[in-house]
Amino acid sequence: MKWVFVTPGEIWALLRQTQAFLTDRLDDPDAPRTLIVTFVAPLAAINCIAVFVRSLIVESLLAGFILGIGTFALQLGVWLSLAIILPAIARQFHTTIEDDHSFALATYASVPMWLATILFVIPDDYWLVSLWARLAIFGVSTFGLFILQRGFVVLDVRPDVRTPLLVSIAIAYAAGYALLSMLVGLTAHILLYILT
Amino acid sequence: MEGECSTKGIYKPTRMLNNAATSGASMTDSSPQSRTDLELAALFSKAWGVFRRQPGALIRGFLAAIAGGVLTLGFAMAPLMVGYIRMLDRASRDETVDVSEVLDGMPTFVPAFLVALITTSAVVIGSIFVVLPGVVVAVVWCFALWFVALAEQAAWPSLRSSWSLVRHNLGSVLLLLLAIALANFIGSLLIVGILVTGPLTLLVATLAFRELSAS
Repeated sequence: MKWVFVTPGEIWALLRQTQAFLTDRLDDPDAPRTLIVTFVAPLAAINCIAVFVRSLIVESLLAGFILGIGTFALQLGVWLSLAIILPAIARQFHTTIEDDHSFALATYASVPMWLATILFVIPDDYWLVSLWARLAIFGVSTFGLFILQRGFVVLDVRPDVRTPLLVSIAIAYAAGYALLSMLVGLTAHILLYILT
Repeated sequence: MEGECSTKGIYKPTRMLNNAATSGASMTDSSPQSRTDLELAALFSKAWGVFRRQPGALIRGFLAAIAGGVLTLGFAMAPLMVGYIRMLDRASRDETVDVSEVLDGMPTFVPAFLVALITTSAVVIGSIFVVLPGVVVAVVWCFALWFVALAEQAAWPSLRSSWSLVRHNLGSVLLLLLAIALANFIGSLLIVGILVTGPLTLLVATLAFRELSAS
């Protein structure tokens, strides 16, 4: 199998011509394994690198390594959780979303957030800038909801369930992200405490 | 198919689950199982109906299981939870329950303790490797105590059965666990709210277990 990493052109197409891009991609979605290698891992690594660089500047190499790996695991875990629970949430509204479509949708909807996480490079010390950076990440991430909505249109999800489905996914995503980031943060800091 | 409690303290598990425990066929084999759709709104609604019928007994049972576990430094926590799960199961079948029924789990001390020990150890060890393996272990073995409580399985078969059950219903189980975590988070924000959301979410888990294992 030939794997090609995601290109800036593809990302641009996803962000500028979302529905056309999704119509093309969801017609014959890539397998989850292909998505991990081509899309998920390279883009989730942005957050990992940003946190590594920030920790390297502010703290130490060890802190950068542990927090960077932890962040990468967090992004993979959140993506995987979203992809797995998306069909289950859809079934709550008597709608079917196939597993392959779910993995593809979860991937494309996560792209804006992954790109925005480059802003995690800003150290927490400059609290005002840091606060703005966090708000910017949140703001850009919400574009993922638009991508999901366009995806529902492409997948012919009934119009009356699109909004409740989107709200449910947003709540589940936020809850899952908060829970996993708390666990990852706690474990990373315990490890750092033990090792330093 | 329903479980029975002929007299207090003697719990008879359901025939279907018991058969699964003794034969190891329906829950531990690798044959494909159909995916069950859990309707969370219906589950929470049903659980709330059960909880409202006897809130005092269910809250007292919950507190007794937690307090008993804390006072024994965690050693009796799992068997007491087994007793409490059985109590919830009876309550879900409209039977009147009493706080003393929490002690029904003590005869299953060894399997319940082993399940808790193995699960906790695996979660802690797994968490060292950037958390995710620990989370995975916690999810795949989340119903092990229910298999001990309601199918009277031994420690290792209950872990295998839980793995099998979760594997075939991964999306539904993940969503259920997320909803339970969210409900308990909201409950703990109100401090005493956990006294309601604790029993309620365990009741939801028990109802979900019945539904998933029946398929």
